[in-house]
Amino acid sequence: MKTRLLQGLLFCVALISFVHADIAPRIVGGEASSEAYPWMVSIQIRSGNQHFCGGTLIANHWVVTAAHCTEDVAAEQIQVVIGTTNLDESSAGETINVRAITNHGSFNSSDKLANDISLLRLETNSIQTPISTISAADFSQINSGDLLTAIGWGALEDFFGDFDNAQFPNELQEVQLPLVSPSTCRSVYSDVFSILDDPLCAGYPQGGKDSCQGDSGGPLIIYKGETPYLVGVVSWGNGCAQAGYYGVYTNVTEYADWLEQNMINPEVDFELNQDSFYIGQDKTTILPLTFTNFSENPITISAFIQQNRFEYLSLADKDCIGRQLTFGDSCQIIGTANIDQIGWIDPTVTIIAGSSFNFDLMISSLAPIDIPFMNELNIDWYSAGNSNSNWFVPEGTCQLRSGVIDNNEITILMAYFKGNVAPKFDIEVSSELNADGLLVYMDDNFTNLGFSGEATEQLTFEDLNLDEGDHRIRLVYQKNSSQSAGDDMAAITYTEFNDVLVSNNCALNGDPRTEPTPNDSDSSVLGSSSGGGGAAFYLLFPLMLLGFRFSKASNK
Amino acid sequence: MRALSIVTMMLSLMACSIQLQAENPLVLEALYGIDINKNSIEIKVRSFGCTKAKHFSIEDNASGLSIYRIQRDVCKRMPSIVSISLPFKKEAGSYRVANPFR
Repeated sequence: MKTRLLQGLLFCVALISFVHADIAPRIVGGEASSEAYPWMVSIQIRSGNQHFCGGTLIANHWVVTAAHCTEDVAAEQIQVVIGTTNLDESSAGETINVRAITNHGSFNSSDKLANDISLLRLETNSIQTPISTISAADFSQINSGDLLTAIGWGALEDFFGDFDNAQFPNELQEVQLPLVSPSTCRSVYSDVFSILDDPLCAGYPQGGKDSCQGDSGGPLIIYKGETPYLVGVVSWGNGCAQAGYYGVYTNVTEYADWLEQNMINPEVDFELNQDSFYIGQDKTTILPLTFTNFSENPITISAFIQQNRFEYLSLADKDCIGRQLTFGDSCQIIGTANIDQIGWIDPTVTIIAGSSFNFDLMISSLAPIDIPFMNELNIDWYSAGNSNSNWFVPEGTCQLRSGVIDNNEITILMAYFKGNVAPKFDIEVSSELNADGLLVYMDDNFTNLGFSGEATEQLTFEDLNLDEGDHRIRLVYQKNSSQSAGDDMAAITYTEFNDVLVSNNCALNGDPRTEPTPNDSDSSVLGSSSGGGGAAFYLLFPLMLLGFRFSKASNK
Repeated sequence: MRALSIVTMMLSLMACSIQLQAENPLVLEALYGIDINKNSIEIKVRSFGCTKAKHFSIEDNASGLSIYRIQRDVCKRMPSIVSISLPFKKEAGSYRVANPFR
């Protein structure tokens, strides 16, 4: 008996020694995927196309992922990129917005992490080929030691002790891992699993290969012949590739019924894509109202009715009336708005498509601001903000600066211009990092550009495919519920439009302009503006849709 | 004898597990921001997807305010900074925070 115990202790010492040895675990220990998996999904924050979890396409508009990936995000904040291998070349994949998220109702991220599974319903069908989930019968044929493959864009090594130097690949990685018996996994994670649990775990006792942070939600697959089947969803583990620990995965066969019950399309899911608009006072503005059918049941619009606010808004059909909209199809009704006072209106539009659908719009009218030194640029400027905190020209400068606001407030600057080439702005932001900052919109759509912390950037809009008509750039400086930092402001320091530049002495085409140097630290930048820079750090910059409203425009 | 070997191996693994757990003493959490309010402290910390308020404890003594992570976030989402609100009764005066800041 003593000998046995001694052997056990020696085994233990050996294992611990292995833990302390630098085994340089590297989809830790894997390699770049040689093939594009058509069902492999990167789940991203739309603002900045930031990958944060993996996923798997299991039907033409359904993605399965981990509940801890999706419990704190809203569907309208995220998108999926399907079938790409390189996140730098996401355009090679198929990008689709997420229409709805269904988290498993019994998932509890502060408890045992059981039921870590969720479903994403996409806005349109993917053209990629989904993967099949493995059947319970086939799963029962897999033995401990059989090799499974984990795939993802997660960290290349465990970085718990060295977060700032964590490496996240753009190239999709994959690694083969042996299935671990439930009893072995239970014994390793005895503080988590009871004898009643049947965990799905994979990895090597000596570590070195594993899934890691950024891989969550992604697939664990097995090949039967040439055909891959989804077995598990990356969930958690004690570190990555640590000796003595295994990766834990959500077993999809245990959730076959849940998946079937929740992959249900709503009978009716018909939406107006954009219902909030900002225009200038007394400025006639075209507002396209885009309606989309997100249900698999086709609908045909027979009529639309404007219920009120006729004095400010008129509507005309573009391509909606009489057209059948199938799943993912859109059509437009064109609104023409002119509000002769500052404030907002809330017209209602009713769409008749078998049933009646009411849509409430909110159109805000901003006050014109006069900037004499910009008069030659043919840009019309408007502004608004909480407590009349309009953007302004600080005395003795040739800059436009955000109004002074309190926590939970916003101040807006809007620039009207004509043509398919947008003005260029040099901007400065000095704010509480990742809490307060500047968001940029074009024609009421978020551009995926946002700036926070200490940032100097040049804003161009060359990536946008603008038409020759009128356009509106809207800059929104907004603060969260607490604290301030830096100068707590945003500013436009240079403006250039149609080859005319307003320089820092207010003269047109005067002093040569110095290219702004993008900050490399203490700032965060969403999206891919021309400026670049920004902290190389994953940020969930909040899309704070503050309930900004100023006074309602009066009825005539 | 085979059964004894298995039991011995299990005991060894359990001993290893205990040893490895003990290698993670309480550490001061690196903070990305802190806001001390009247009845709560709001901290900004790193999360891998499963960081919750119950994973932290606050120690307030003469040497200052210390916020410890008492449970590791083992999930595998991409790291992000999240705001966590911890219950706290603010006393008059200022606080020295012992945690490192990022």
